[in-house]
Amino acid sequence: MTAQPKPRTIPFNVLCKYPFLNESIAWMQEKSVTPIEALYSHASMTDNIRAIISDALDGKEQTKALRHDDEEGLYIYPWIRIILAFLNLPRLTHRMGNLLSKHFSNLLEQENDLTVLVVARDQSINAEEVPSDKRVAINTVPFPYRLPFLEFLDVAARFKSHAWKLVNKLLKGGYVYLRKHDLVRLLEEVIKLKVIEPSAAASDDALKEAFSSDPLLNPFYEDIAANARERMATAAGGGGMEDLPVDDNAFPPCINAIVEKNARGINLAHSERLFLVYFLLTIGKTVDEVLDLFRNQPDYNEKITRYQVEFAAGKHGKQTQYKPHNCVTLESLGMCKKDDPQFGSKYCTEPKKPFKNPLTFYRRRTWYRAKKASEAASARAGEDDEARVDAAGAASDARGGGNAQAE
Amino acid sequence: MHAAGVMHKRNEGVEPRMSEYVRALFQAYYRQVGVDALVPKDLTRREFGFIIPGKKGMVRHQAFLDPKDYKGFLVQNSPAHAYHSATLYNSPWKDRMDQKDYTGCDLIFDIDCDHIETPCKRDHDTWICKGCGGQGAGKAPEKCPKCGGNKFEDRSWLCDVCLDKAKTETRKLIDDFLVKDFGLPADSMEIYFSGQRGYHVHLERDAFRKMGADARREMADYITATGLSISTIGFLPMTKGIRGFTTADPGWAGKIARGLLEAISGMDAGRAISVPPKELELLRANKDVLKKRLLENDINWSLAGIGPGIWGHIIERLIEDLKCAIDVPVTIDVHRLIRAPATLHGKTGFVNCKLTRQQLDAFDPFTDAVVFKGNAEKIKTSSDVPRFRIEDRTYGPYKKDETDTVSIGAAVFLLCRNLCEVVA
Ligand SMILES: [Zn+2]
Ligand SMILES: [Zn+2]
Repeated sequence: MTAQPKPRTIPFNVLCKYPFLNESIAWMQEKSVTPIEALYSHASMTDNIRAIISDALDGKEQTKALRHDDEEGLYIYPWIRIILAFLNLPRLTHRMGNLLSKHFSNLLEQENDLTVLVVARDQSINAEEVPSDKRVAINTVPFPYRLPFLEFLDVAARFKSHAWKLVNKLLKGGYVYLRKHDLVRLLEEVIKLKVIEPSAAASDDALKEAFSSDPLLNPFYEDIAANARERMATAAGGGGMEDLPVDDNAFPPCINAIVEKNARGINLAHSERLFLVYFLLTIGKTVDEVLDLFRNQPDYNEKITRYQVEFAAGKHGKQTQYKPHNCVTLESLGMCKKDDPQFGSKYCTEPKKPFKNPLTFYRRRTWYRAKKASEAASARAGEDDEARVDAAGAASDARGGGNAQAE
Repeated sequence: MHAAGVMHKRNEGVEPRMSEYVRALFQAYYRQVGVDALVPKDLTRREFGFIIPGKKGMVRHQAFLDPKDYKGFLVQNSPAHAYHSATLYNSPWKDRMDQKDYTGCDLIFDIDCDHIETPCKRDHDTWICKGCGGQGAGKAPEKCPKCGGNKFEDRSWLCDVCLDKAKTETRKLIDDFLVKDFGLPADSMEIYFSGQRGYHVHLERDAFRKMGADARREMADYITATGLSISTIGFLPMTKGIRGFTTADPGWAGKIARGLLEAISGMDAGRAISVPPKELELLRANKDVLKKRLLENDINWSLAGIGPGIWGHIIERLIEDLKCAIDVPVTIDVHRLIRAPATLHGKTGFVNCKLTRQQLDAFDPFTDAVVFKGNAEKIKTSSDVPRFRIEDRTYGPYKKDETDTVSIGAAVFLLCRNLCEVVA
């Protein structure tokens, strides 16, 4: 506790704005204020915690309840994680990860280059400004940052979008060159993982005890807990689809055909684009994930496309969310591909139970594939690795001993 | 690739045959070779596997604390094949993977003639159907055209053309990808000739050993151009004109531009470029203006007669030439066994050779990997043998039951493939 305070390199206002920073956490530790003291000394904090959890339950990607200009913005962050740990509701934790990572990445998009860099460095993303003699611009878009490729892969190898594959990135001399938006997107992922990683508070019995015996805090917590449990329970009622991660391999033929066309860089018709956006948003892709897809389009324009996609997501103006077309409509538009030699599927032409909307196709396939995967995982456990090495040796024998593996 | 079904077959096990003649030579080699050449980095943390004459299957889960013990094992058993894990474990000797305690895995790139197309394969490779005994030339088919069986005895041959192509690919991997794009110093990689049909490049720095499977796949995909989307990297066929790449662009964009510049410059020198005739004519007609633009880093690729579709074909062909034919599963899988350094290959009698980047250029596997030299031996072939070379001499082609006097290296080569016997 009496350790020499390390000289801080990040201004205090930045620490307050980005409380997940290692330096923000160090600042709090130096103050040696216990979490409960912090809660008592910031009058609006309990209300704000309640509001943030409510925003996460709503699936929002931004919140008004985070303060950016004083200590409360700092102290509220560990509390959110403590309460998530106590509640132990994985889906709420994930939604909070989504909410906070999107919230902070929106703020970061508006920061100057240096601040983004400072935040990245704090999060062990050792990006650097590209030296002026090595500047890169593609079609006049500048790529002001670069990142050692292994660090890039640490985060980006998880991304599913083909725009994030290393093969489609600017790689030279061991560095991946990035736009500001790319660096912020990487940070967003890092922040999300940080929010959802298990908090030490989960096993901090002393804190739990102090918290639950506190005459004011206990009812505050019980109120949040009851509300969250009830709302997560009703949300799960709708077929359980939200429990399953988005599965790109479960798309219906009509969607696969459009995705493929898009991947080849062919301009999509307006109706195709609209259908794709509604579909992807409905199955749980984020606005950014959908945008990543369209970066492939010849006439891509970030601002306009983002507005359109966010509009479809119901973020502007009226909060109506559209649903993707029914099969009948798709057929009349010539967009149904159930009989297509490349994309067609027997799950469309000979379904066990008829369906009216491609979403049903997707829900059934996702569920089925998830079930298969978990069965396969439990059957494989324990012997998977053995088999692989053995098969390696075996292959060598079968081929005459020459090729036990890399050979 | 390596079907799990094959595994059971092996466990029933065929005892590897090895003539006494070869076995004695292998043992003599292991007696005299220096310990330092044999020992891989981090010996004690690796699992070893051996194919030993007279023993069924692979002798697995071996581990050695002391380099001298490892050499002793090789001398005593003179294995036909010796492998070690690319993986590092805390307890490599345990016979269950989940108990070995994985700590990391070298990142390995494998370039093997099996994965490279060469025209000569049709001349020197044959296969025999295990079901009906039917034979054919070239690579074994998916299914036997006669009986529909899918098990074949693969009699692939080694030739200068095939191994040269493997070497070219290895140099491409190192120079164009690992050094230029991934920024690795050439002396930070271990380069090996495998002892038979290809080359390995190992990256053994801690940062690579810690890479997950996803990251390894991303690296392999970059090298093989898998998932490459030219529109994503900036090729834009707009109505107002086609926007291409500059030779200075990082990543695949620059590779394609440099490949294109080289291709059209090669046209002047009369070199062939691998695009179809129609595309070739169009490129030839536009070559001067295109070359000027490429040299000036002008991204305007609008040219008379070359629309987006034709550009697509041309770029596709360029990518075919620019990508590198690594065997992707070897790079991604963190539980592979790899041929051990300076050990002998039981299908050739050649030694696995460690090379520097410089040594690779002049390396001649049919001379430099031959350890048993000199001494004339009289041999009699036991089946037809395609032409081959050992050191300065070319042998064959032989018919069955032909006799000849050959160098000891050539005799070992044929004996290892069960194609001859030594006659007294
Ligand atoms: Zn057959
Ligand atoms: Zn050949």
